[in-house]
Amino acid sequence: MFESILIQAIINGIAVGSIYAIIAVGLNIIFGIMKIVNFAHGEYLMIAMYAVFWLYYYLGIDPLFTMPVSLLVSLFLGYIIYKIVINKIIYREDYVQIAVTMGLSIFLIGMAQLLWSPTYRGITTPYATYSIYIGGYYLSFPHLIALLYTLIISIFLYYFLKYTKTGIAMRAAAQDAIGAGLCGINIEKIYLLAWLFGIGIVGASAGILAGIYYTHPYIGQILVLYAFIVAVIGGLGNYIGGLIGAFILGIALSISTTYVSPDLSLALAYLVFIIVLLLRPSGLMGVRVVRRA
Amino acid sequence: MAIKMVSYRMISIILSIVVILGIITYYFLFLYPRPTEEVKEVNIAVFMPLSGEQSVYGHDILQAIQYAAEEINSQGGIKSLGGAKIKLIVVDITSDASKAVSIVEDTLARYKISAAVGPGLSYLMIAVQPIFIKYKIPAVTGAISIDILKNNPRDEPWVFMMGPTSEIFGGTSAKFLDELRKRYNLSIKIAIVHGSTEYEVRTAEAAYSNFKNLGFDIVLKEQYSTPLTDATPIVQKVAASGANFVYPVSYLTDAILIIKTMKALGVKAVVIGGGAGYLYPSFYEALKENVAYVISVAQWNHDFWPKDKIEEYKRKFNVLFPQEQVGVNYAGVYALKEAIERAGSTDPIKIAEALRRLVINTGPAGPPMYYGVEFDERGWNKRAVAVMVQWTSDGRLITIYPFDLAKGSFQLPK
Repeated sequence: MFESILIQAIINGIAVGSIYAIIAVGLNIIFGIMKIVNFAHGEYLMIAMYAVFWLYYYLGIDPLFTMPVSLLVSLFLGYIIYKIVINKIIYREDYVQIAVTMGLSIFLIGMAQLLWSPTYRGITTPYATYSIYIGGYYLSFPHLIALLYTLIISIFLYYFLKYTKTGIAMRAAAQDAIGAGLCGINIEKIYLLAWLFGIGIVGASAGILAGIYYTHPYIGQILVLYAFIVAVIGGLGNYIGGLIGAFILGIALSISTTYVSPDLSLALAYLVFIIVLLLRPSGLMGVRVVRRA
Repeated sequence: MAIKMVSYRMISIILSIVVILGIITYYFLFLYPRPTEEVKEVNIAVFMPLSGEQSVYGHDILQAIQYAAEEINSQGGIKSLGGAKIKLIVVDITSDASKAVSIVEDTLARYKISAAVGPGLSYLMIAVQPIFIKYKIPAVTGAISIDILKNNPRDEPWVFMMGPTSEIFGGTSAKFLDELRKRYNLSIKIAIVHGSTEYEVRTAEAAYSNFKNLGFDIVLKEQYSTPLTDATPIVQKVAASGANFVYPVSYLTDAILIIKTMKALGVKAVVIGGGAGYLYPSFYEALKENVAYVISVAQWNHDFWPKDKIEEYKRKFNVLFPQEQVGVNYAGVYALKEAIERAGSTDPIKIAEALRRLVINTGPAGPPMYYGVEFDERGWNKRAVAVMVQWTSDGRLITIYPFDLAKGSFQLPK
């Protein structure tokens, strides 16, 4: 079996953490630039996973090759919802944004149940049980793809936000939307772009995740729970912090569930969440906000 | 004085008229023989999870019930009721126990049901069992939890278990492993992992106590929350325990995830499944050759049926083979049919009484197709036994134990 159970648990933790990171990155971009906590974030992933599943089921297309379609589906849905709903709550109070995005989540889950029933849909690919074996340790092939996707997206985002005009404009809008607007940046376009970026990143990953998880109406909710923890641990709005937070959480969960109990998974996630916030309230890489009277 | 005499007389006359009218009314309401209506149909409710994570089971079991009902109707229906046909009232109770309760209650209150086939999943059956008892509707089920028998009123069961209990599952698994240990001189370390539903917990507990009684080294006993999203933590625990045999008790979606993850992480422990998810054609369809050598305990296996019947079923429903619950529920419908024949009535109370006295030794519910039927005072079919089955890499599932029922021999993984 493994040379060391502990090291295998760490490897598995990094693999699982990368999945949380995929979802958390999109959440962070949306919050970082638009200051909206998108509670329906997981549902865009869920809808994209259904698109992947139906392509696999009816046309036999391997889920990894459906990335362009799942991306388009999520962007289309994201665009419609932005124009009808999100556009109208950007400048509203926090509680309005929370209520609306939670309501959207419930609505999308309900529609999925109505259209496709709560039945679990699984995709079986020839490589589902493959793994790479290096130095006495295993990493499953689907998780390896998820890890590579996370790293590629992270590197892309880093260069995009740092060196491109649009990326710089997005960072400016995140820092001070009014100031950025006064400098000639079209804030409405930036917000739309940030929204579509956040949704698109998670939608494009549907082909990878549909090969790992079952597709059903609640899958988005289950995964986004951990992604929120990761995003807050890393510092809401900071996608690099989210990445680090994801790996920390993934490793912590993997080690603890190996040596304690798998049933404690969610409880332990929240324990890590509470400990980090007690020590660093703004998250690992979040910016401390000081409110003056 | 004349007025007083008239009043008494009037009162007497009126009272007499009232009494006579009352007697006549009572006679016509309760004693007058009513013309018997010809019985054309017998309503049998079928309560199955047809949506949610257990829908695969629900649809498979429903096919078996429809198959049996069609057969019975084509052979002349219920003869003691003048050839009345079985009419199935199919109800989706979902995979959620709390929703199932209200759905079953609503159905039993709305329709005139003579009998029912209850869900073959223990957590759903236990949830809805009080409703059958409340409405006095007899139900047969392929569920196996011993709690179903404990919840029946003693000597007056309303839910009738067709197959072996979870205790027998555990006992048979342990005896089989003991045989392996002796035959191959194996040093066995077992990890028992199971989900959190009624069936999974009860079967795992029974296996644990039986393994312990036979002196097996149990290196892990771990419960996880059903359903699994990610099997990595549980498989890691199995690997960390050093087990060379793993006894997972899971429904289908979890079973597939566990085996997939074991393969991906290179965990090579011999799998002896605790039934359910490890027995379905969908298990092979999801995992293909990765199911090779996987063993499981089962209530029944399709190799009990004659080959032509298996082929007919496969063609009709486009399945790899009739799975475990097909045989159990097919026999269950025939048990209901026999009880209705003997009751000669659509009255559920008379059908329940007939089920309690029922003995079947031949036919579709008797050997060799099934074990026969004879319910004890708790509602358990004491003729039922458990078997061990093993998968081959090309998707065949073969009965390997007990040896008098075996259709093939056990293959030790290479």
